[in-house]
Amino acid sequence: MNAWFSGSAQQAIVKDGKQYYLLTGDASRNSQSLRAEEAQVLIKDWPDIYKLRVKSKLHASEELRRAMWCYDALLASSMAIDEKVKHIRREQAAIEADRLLHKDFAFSHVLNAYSAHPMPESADLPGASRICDHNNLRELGVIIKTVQVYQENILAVRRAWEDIDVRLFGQPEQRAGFQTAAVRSGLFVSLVKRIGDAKKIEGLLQSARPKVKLLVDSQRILNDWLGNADQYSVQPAKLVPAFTEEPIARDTPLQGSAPMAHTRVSRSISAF
Amino acid sequence: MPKKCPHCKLEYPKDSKNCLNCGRPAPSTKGFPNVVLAEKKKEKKELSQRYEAAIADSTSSGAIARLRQFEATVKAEGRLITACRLTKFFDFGDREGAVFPTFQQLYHAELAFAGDDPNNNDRLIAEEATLPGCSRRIHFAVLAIDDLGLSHYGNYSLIWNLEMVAHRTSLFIANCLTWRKQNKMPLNVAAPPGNRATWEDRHLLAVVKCAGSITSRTKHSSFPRILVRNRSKQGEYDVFIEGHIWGPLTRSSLSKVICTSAEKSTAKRLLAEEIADELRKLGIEVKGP
Repeated sequence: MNAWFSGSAQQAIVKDGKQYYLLTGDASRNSQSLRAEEAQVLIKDWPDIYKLRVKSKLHASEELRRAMWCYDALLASSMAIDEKVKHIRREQAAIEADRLLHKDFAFSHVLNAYSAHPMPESADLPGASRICDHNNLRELGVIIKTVQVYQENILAVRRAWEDIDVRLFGQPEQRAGFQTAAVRSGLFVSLVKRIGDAKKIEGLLQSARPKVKLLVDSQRILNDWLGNADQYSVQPAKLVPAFTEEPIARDTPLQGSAPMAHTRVSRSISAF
Repeated sequence: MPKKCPHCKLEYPKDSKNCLNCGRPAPSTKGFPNVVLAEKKKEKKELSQRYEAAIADSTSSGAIARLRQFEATVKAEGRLITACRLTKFFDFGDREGAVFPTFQQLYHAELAFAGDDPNNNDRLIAEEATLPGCSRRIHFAVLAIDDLGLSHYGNYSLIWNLEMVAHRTSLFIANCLTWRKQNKMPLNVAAPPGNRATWEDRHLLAVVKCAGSITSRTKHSSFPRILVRNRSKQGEYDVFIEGHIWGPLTRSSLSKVICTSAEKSTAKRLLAEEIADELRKLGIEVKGP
């Protein structure tokens, strides 16, 4: 059965046959049946919606808990970085982010997201790093240092993404769908690690196919993207290995046979 | 150089056709398309006839005094409320350049599965049939006479500053999708006249919609729940008059924010506190746990 999830709304909708069911983050509640139009009204307000195939409502409920955890991890991490947030609140957010990031899937989710977008102007990575050092927050500290070290690479990968011929995607939602798969399955992370090294990019092309193979014209889009990435002469960050060579995730949210299916980024990052 | 709005006196980008705060068009721009629809003679005439019929029925049933009270209350205390979750604040409460809203907008905009609705975009079709040519620029709200909206849409009630929104608001008799389904109407057909009103005529539409629920024994305290009611076991659809606010909304378009239940996660609670501080700095009242 298909299910739609939103970590921000703390809700999921499961479609079982013709019937829709609403699951909420409140574990004490059972699923509640919904009419199709009600489901649609709810979904309209879910900014972080994604879809998966699930085996049961219980499976969907577990996935919802993950989605909520990931959302909170991203939110708390972003508040910790934001120089416009009050310092005391940044510190509280950093402590909470660090707690949430102890789960591998949340760690991967946040790193996947930050690898897909250069940091905006008000990101205060050095300040966040100091908060982590002061409070001994190892998980968030690793994320922040990784994002700092790779910021140029992230920018280059982003440019390569923006340079993809939009006609290859067809409709705008297909571009969004492709990006969803690319972010959530860790393709952005993989490319951030390799940009500037043509051989490694070529290797990535082979291994990336399974991640997006169900998407329309995925091969041409990948070729275009990785070809663009080849044009950017960013030096691979040599300070690190901020990321180890991770196994390629076989399942993506669009394929749906595994919950979230984030790339397993190594937790043993220790080179900083 | 930004332009200064002659109405609300706030600044907005020089290339914008409307003030981003109160939505009023720059000089030389015509009226708001949703309001233009509600101002059509045919609409006003039909609404007026339905109103007179409701008044006549109420008179003969002996409920007219109460109905007049209800009408006066809607006219005097009517407000526009959007119930939503915290994430909506990124649309309405954005601090320019701040990391989280900026990042969040990018992230969400690009992660959303735009076409992944479970109902084949029925809502989009019904909205466009109700608001032809302008449905994509409409923010939805409910007409209320207290500070509570439809609670299942979220734990925040955003109460709009009427000075900023009333002039660009039209009202429709119900949720434009479920109303069509309840009345077994095709989704893509225009609504017959008499089901919409301008903000000035809000009391007329409220009488047309609610007269049947008001008897001589109806208490004044029941009025808010007659006008806005969440779906329940007794009634499977939400009951409300849908407010259509044309154009952009910003923090400055808000009058008050009420949190009806506290955020359960620490991360969201921190964000809610941060946003509340920002809004208070602007003089916007923020209440709740």
